[in-house]
Amino acid sequence: MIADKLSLLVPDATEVQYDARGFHIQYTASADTLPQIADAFLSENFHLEMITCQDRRENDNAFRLIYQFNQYGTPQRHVILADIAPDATAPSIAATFPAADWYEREIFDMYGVSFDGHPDLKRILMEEDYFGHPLLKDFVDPPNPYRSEDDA
Amino acid sequence: MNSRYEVEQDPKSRDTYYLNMGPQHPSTHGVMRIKLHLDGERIISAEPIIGYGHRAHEKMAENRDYIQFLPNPSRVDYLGGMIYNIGYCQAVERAMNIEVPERAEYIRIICNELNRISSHLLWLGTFLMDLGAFTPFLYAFDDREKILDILDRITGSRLTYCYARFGGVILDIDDVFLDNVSNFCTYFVERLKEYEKLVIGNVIFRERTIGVGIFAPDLAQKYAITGPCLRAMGHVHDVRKDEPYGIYDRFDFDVPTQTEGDCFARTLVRVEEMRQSIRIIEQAVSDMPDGLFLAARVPKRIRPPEGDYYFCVESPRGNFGMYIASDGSDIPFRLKLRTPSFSHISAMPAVMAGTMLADAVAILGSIDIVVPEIDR
Amino acid sequence: MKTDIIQLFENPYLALGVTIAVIMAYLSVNAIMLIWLERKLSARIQRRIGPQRGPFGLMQQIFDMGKLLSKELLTPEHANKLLYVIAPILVFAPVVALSSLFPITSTYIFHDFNIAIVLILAISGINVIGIFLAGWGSNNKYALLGAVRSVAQNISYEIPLILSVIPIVMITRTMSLYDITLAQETYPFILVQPIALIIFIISATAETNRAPFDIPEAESELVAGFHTEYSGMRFGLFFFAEYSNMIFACALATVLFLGGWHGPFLPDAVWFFIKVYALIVLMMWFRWTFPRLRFDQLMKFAWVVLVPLSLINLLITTLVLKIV
Repeated sequence: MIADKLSLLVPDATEVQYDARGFHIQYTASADTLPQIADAFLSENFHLEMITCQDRRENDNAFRLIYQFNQYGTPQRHVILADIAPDATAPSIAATFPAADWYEREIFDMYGVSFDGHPDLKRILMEEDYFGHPLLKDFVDPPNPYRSEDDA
Repeated sequence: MNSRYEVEQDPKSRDTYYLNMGPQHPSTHGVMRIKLHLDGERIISAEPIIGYGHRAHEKMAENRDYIQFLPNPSRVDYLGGMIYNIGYCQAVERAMNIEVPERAEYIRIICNELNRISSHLLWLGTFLMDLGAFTPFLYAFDDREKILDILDRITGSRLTYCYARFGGVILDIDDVFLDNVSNFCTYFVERLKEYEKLVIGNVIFRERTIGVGIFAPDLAQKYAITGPCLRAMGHVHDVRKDEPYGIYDRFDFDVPTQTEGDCFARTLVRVEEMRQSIRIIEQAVSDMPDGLFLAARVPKRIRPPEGDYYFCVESPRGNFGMYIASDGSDIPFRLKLRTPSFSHISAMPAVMAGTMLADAVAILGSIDIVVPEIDR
Repeated sequence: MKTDIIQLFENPYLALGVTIAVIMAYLSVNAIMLIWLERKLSARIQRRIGPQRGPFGLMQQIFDMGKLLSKELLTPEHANKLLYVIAPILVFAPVVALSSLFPITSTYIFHDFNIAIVLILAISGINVIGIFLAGWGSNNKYALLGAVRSVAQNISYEIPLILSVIPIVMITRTMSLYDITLAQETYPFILVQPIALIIFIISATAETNRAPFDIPEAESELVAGFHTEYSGMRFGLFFFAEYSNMIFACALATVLFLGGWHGPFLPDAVWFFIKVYALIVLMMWFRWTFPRLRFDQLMKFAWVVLVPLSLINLLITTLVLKIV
């Protein structure tokens, strides 16, 4: 059972009300256990539904990574929250779940969070020579050197 | 280059080259690029490069309140606009516990399924055009036009709908709409048979799709494949059945599946899905209750209680999920759109390696991508 | 009984000039009309109306020609200028050169050549070179891929094409198109060589790069294939060449299998053109009905199905001729 495997890795599990929230169990984990957690989910036939991030530097001085695992058929959503310090890196789980490859690239692109061990960490949605990370709360669109003043 | 998915090269041929399929290419269905490493016509590796259509919907969500974000979801995926629009409303409704009147729920079901059929029709046309068959494209568009006309009449828009509101829909339907819908259903069931005769039985079509672009069984779990692509691999998974949202649990419909996971299986699944959608619409039309189409008591200010919410709907392409992190204010703290095409395109390096150039086009067509949905 | 038009003129160069002028004029008008026909026909197949400019939409083609003629001829910067320029001409030239060989009526023909079939099969292969030069000279990967496909396809399908013509030559013991037509006075060869006709039509569709064998210009894969970089009238020449090749292939099939000008009541030339255009409509019907084959499947079809089939057909014909 996934719950048993996870209880060894992440003791901090909260059952959430599925009818209101849309997922079942929420865990708070430290970032360096993520690869083991991913392995546990892989062995239990879960898939990585998405990874996303929150810029919580104002609230908790941290970026919060949100991993959501689910299984086909009867939904069983497990959400892993992992807070990392603004200048820290997180381990990549792309080796376990290739789906994480692009999600991690997107988080790198949008938040500037780096992932250790990612096969090819580069921008995905913004252009390669873009600077800045758009989804940061204090983001200001950098002036585009190629755009003239009269362009709307 | 993403070396993990390179297939073994023929040691005798050292002349390989790169071909940019896109950003402007007839069969990427939008502005997307696939960097192909080719040995003759054989693909050694493929790397999708996305982001040309990035419109920062997630950033927009953090800068406007829940009501102002209403028109956005249907622009994320312009072919399943109604489903996205309604899905967003349902996500917020569940977070805020807003009751939706029965009639509105039924209207939503009809609109959802009509939209699904129109999306599948467009897919059928463009997929066959990718394979070089021109004529089915116009047949499919002809029928799609009928759906657009029906929806146009009640929503006022043809593509990027903003019909749903928190607590129902903005305008009521009338008997003419219901007549139109049931007429369309009887007409379309016959048309589907024609499509099957025209397309599925064709020898060249079978040659081009059977055994082409097989999604290996472990691919689903690794890349979180969903929707018709997943059902073509033998998984019985449909959000409408597994975690029914709205009132989908009241309807009687099947989840079509195939086991092969190739382009042909995906075609069969989608064609059968259109038939199931017709079944749902017919049930909804006959059960349509009277009453309010918009809840009378909807909070003036849309402020979901603090916390994380995830809501997922079955879009024509797969699981469309909305992750809403609310801090209790009018404006979402974070709104993540989990789009199915993003996952499917990220699996392309693993699927395309080792196939032919013409297969790449067939695979891209068969997974039914909408580029703005990948880029958001 | 028969008169070569060329012999009517005393000056051979004048005769040549008149012949070429007549053929060019015919092919141009024919291409324009075929484009109209294809548009109208595809519209009918697809439940559309089709072009609407002028009576029956006939003006649409005239405007299109005007547009093509008035467009700037762009040459890509890194293209091989010489190859790039001569390629469209090379594609178009063989059709013009060979069209004079067809016996349209029993009385007046341009020229009766006693080894016409050899000449036709030899020279019609030249347009492959034109297509390849177009792909190579454009310096574009899509164009090159299209050209490579085209060469492979045309060379492969030329073999069943030739093998399907040989039985006719064996039956009639002549290579003159006029004599072959004469030999079909009582019955057309479609009755004795139906398999050869089917092989011929399939191979001819492939030779003319028409769907479902249009992989050299498969627009969903290769954008526009070998003519990706062409614009204006150079592109127009490719366009012309496609339709001229079509009528050329259909005329050959008419002469070889459908009895040429033979037919009751109507004049010779009318019968000839009725047969030709019926075959063209058939080819257009193919195009708007079938999806495109994949490159390897196409080659497999030529080598695994058509070549053995035509060889067997040839063998049977030989045996029957030997016994009878």
